[in-house]
Amino acid sequence: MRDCASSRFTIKALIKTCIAIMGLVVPAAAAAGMIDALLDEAAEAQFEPLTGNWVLSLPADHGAHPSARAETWSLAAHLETPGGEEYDVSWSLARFGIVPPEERNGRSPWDLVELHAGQFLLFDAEGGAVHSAVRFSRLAGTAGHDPEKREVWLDEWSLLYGAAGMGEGLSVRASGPEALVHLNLVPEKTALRGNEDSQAATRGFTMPRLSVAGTLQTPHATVEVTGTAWLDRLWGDVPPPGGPIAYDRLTLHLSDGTDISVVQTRRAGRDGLGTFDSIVVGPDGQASYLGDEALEVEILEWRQGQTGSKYPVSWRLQGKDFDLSVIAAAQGVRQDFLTPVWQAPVSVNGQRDGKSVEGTGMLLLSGYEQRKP
Amino acid sequence: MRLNPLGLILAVLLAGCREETEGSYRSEVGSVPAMEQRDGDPDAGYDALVNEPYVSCGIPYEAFQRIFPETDPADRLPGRDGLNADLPYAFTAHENNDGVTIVSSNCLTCHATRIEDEIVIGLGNEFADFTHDPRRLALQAGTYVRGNAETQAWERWADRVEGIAPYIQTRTIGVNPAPNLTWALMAHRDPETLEWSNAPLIAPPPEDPLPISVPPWWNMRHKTAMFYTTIGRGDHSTFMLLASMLCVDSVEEFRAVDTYAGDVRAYLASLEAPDYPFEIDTDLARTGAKLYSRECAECHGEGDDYPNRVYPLDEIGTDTAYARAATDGSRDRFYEWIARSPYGDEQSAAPAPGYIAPPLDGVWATAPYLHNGSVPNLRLLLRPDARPNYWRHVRPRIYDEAAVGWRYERLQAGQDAVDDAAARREIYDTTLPGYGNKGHRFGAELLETEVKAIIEFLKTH
Ligand code: HEC
Ligand code: HEC
Repeated sequence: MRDCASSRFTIKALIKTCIAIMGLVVPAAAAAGMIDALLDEAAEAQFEPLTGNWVLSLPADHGAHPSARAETWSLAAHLETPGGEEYDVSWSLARFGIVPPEERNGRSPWDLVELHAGQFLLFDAEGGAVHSAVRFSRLAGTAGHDPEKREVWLDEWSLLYGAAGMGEGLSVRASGPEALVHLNLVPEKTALRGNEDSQAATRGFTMPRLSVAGTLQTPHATVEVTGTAWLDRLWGDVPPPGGPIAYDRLTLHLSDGTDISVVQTRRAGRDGLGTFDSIVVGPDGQASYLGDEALEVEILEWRQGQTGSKYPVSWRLQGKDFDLSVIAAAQGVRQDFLTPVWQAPVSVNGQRDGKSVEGTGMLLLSGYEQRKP
Repeated sequence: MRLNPLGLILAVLLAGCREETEGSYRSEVGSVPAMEQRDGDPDAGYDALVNEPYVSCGIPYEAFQRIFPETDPADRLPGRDGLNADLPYAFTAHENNDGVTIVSSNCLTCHATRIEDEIVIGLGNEFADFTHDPRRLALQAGTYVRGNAETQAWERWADRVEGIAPYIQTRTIGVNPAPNLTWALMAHRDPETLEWSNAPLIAPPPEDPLPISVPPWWNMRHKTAMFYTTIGRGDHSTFMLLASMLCVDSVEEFRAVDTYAGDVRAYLASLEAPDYPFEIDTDLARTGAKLYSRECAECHGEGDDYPNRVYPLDEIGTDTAYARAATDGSRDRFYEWIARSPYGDEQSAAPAPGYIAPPLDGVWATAPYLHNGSVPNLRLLLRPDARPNYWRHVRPRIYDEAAVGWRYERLQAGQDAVDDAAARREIYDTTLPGYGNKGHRFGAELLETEVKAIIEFLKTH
């Protein structure tokens, strides 16, 4: 746990991340046709905003925070098989409180008190074809969190933490129609959190680099995989999905051990760049926050999607000690629901501290569908 | 020499020509004549200032509450109606035509300062931070905006913020970009209909705003023209409404605000400087009064006798950028805009190539000094050779009774030498264009004891 000068900024960037991820997960759940009314109910729910100082407590904070109105887990993992094949996994869970925990006594187990939604994406070795799955549950046994077993689950997807020997790591099991991953994740850098005396109603942490080992099972084979992942966690007062703002999120893992997060905040459906909040985490885990003036962003390439929308798929990022070119994999996934979100793994190369670097990452774009002509 | 009739005609013609071209939108340095002002009721003016929605676009209330969930009780002002009673003093709420409650920044954002638990209305805010991209706040607020009418209301405001964002980011925390903000808004508005255009209609001002220190409103009781270059001539009450033009999109809306502009002006002109809150050495102050009469009064006035004079740049020697930009023709398109608009006429915008010597009422409270806020305290104003080239305010701010100003720290290097953006924007770097701290050397020849005495006297002023 770090108390670097940048940590108070971290939470801001995190909140934005969370919103971006909510944007991703919620529309996916909307496909199940239930979300609108339920989300209205969630928005009406009388959750008190979280107050008071908070201390990041790991591994416990991997688990759920039932008194928080909403909560997200999101993981982007970049994997490689012993044979050198590459895969990318994106897995997000979201929990929306409907009835605050103190009011749940005496309710039937079938009463709707929480809503869980999740999305799994597996990008295959070509970075193109994708296995995707969306899960959605109104609790009642099919989803939940068990602080004693230290587990959060949604159908057969699960996240385990805090078992003996796991430290601050976690273990994730998630699947799509034709793929199942089982990943053990060990943080390689200390978690970045908001200021300890932050009174923020939205809280969370980010683990910028976790090492991954596990298996990937497909109808044809089960292979071992290793790699690197990024985890974002958020809970508290999270704005409901929709609205006039859109977010882009880019996470990068560089070969020199540096990890970078970039969040762009824009007006949905407008041209032009927005404002940027970035975090650069050095190989030693030292994090620094970059505001607009410390990061120069240029969009190198726009790619037209099938419905005609254009997405910025290649970015150049220049900072004081880095100059990186990022390009998204050949195809991305678009969830075409309420708030369309486009997502793709990326590759990156360039310079960092005067040395050549390369790396992997994930790009998540929203709000480009509504672009005005 | 006697002119022959031909010469006379020529002289008249030439004079006429000058009136037409460079003569318009300019004043001479020297004395500023008084112009007739609208009558008004100061009490009604205060009421309007803290309750009326003269800035009619802003953040939908629900989103506002997410960003500013609680009001510090010391930020509340008396005499405010409805929701305003509970909002921080710099914000005003009103319901728009679609039934959406909107919260907007009011004049007190720049023209009031909280010192300890007291809000001093009229004291320029010398700690406001205009170094950030203002779109950040707009986008942050937008995060919480839901619903069609709310989104529309937010978009109207966000469009304006986007229009002016490139022109109002200063290099240093504390200095104010208001003049450039005003020009930028004009560039986006038709002067006759006041209709907003997202694309500029005339060339906008340069992006880097010149840094300005906000003058105290209580000087208005003495002043015959507004602003450092006395650009604000004619009827002050309508002209000062330019500061509320962010969302005034029609002549009708302008008229609605203009109905109480006379009252607002009357309120500003009724304000008096606050008394110095610490101890004063009255004997020393008496000595200082004599020195002041000898050294300073000719320009700054004494008691109710205030000369209202502009001094040319070569005489005053302070940073020339602001007065030059106002009078070198590069802003004339904006003066013409004013002349064509309901905010003024041909006579309104008429800057002189110099700076007015301001009244020094309550000057103890208005640090840092000079039009660009480049000199941290009174002592340094009167000790020109000791002024720091690079400095920053000590935070949290501490008042320095001996030097008269907010305590500062002298630095060895300017903004270029600092990588960290947050640290950089705290540095007042007098080598930046418009940020110069030279000139006004009127205290240079005074003895140290004389400087002390004048400072002591100014505490009583
Ligand atoms: C964004 C900050 C800002 C806001 C908001 C603002 N002002 Fe000002 N105001 C300034 C600055 C800076 C100056 C000095 C400009 C100059 O002299 O060139 C000034 C000067 C003035 C003056 C002239 C004072 C003098 O001594 O010459 C008056 C009067 C005035 N403002 C009234 C208003 C009113 C009324 C409002 C609200 C409708 C308002 N201002 C809103 C920044 C602001
Ligand atoms: C020749 C005229 C003249 C004389 C003499 C003069 N001043 Fe000034 N003074 C000015 C002008 C003009 C300005 C505004 C300059 C600027 O803002 O760039 C000014 C500004 C100031 C300010 C800054 C006010 C503020 O709020 O920023 C102070 C304080 C001041 N003078 C004090 C004095 C004192 C004390 C003396 C006598 C020792 C004095 N002046 C002598 C013309 C004069």
